[in-house]
Amino acid sequence: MSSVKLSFAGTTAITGVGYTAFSKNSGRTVTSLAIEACRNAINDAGLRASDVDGIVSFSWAGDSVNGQAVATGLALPGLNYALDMSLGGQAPSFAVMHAAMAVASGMATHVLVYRALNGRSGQRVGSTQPNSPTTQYRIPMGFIAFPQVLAMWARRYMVETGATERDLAAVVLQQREYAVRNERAITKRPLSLDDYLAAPWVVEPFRTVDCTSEVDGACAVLVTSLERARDLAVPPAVIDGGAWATGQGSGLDPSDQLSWPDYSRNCQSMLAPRLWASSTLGPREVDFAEIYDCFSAVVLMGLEGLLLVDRGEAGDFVRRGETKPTGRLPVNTHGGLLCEGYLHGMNTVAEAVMQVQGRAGERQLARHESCVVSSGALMDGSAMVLRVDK
Amino acid sequence: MTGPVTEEEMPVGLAPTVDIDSAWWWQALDAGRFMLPRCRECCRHFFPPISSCPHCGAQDIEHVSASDEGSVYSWIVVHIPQHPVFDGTPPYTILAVDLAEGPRIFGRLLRGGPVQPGAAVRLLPYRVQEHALIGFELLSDVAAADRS
Repeated sequence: MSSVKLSFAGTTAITGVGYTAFSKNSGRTVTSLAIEACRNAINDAGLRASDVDGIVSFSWAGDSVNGQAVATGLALPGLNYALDMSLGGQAPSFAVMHAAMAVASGMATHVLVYRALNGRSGQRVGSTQPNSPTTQYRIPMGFIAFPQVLAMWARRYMVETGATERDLAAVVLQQREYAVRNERAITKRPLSLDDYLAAPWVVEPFRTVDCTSEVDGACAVLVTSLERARDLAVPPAVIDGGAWATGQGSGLDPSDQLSWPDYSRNCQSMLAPRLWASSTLGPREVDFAEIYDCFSAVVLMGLEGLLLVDRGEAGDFVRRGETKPTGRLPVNTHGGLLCEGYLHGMNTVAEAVMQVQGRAGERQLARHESCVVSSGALMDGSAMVLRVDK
Repeated sequence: MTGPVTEEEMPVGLAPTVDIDSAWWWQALDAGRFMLPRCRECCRHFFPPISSCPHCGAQDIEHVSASDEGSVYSWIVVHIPQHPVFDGTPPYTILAVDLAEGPRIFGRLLRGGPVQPGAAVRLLPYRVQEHALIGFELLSDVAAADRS
């Protein structure tokens, strides 16, 4: 193991976690949400704002504010590292790794990573028509928004692996069960298979309940060296390994799938070999998984892409209950983006950290020493392995 | 049953936002010619049109006539279109088609069904305002209909 040597793997950690409330209409600016989540993460770690000297963030089509706005609002004395990425769900793990690289290289000491948006009351990614070079080949005919883009992948995945709507249903039903134990979750009404099958279509093969819930809110984590993290207020979640990757033909813009050969294998399949080569753990050794889930089918593709189960076995794995709290590999313990809300996967990372730290309250897993967390569902994406301090 | 798209079959749509790399391709389609860019170095077709070959990186690109045949790679049935122009239209199908020359392209399914993976399709362009857009008809279904 660890044939890919990363300077930050095993030497950096995530410490504090901060959230705002998640809502359908925050009535606040994105700047205000970002500052609150970041302040909460700093306080959670037992640090002062003046300890922070780096900020990493990401936004989609200009839906957020940059790190320097947050630094200004927090009255930081200055910054030694700042990065604002124009990315969506592929970014959260990548953003944390940028922070970890800044720490491991010595450029910065304590680095905030956040995602903030009014994703429901403001600019909604689910119905946004991006102005990019390849939308001319789909929008005129009515192939417009992300639910449709991801549905095209889901259909091909189902054709190739034999996955059925019962497999998609199993993902949705189980994540609803987790969401009941999550006070933050926007969608927590328990769902039966009959309820699932009766839900209206958005774009086949997705029903309304297969789609994430857009929310207003913010979420932040604080990254520092493992050595420093050991002295802070919460246990370190050690960054044990990580990867960002894509393959050839990743497209002319972030929603261009025309040049991607295989819609049944996304970025998680591309990054998995490097991810596990960078980690001290293997794919069948982690205790749980937090898998990016803008749509239900992405969980199945992630389970297989990350090599957590064999190709074509994800649906059966979920239907057997293996991803429940008592199963072999609990998955999306906060209810996922489907139920907790669409913070573009920053909250997926935060949940992974809270579970590893043993602070997930009512939904805390019994086995939580290590996990894999993924970010992204299309051509490019990222993932990390997190673990307790040994 | 082949031939142009009839008035009743013509779906609503939007005008494409043409750019400098794609103008020739749209102009050809508007004039009734389906073309693809092809690399003079590696001789492979590609789509969408850009100034270099996504297979080998060469910049020597030619524009060639393409066949009108392909097969279904994937498909979606849109019930909530997410754009007001399509509001109130019945559910419609968008195909991802692998063309006989290799590249993948999207198009509206205008005739035939139900869709099967790998099903043969033929290009059936349709018009929105003065613009030609990509549509397809399912050939297997056409053949079955002709036999009955």
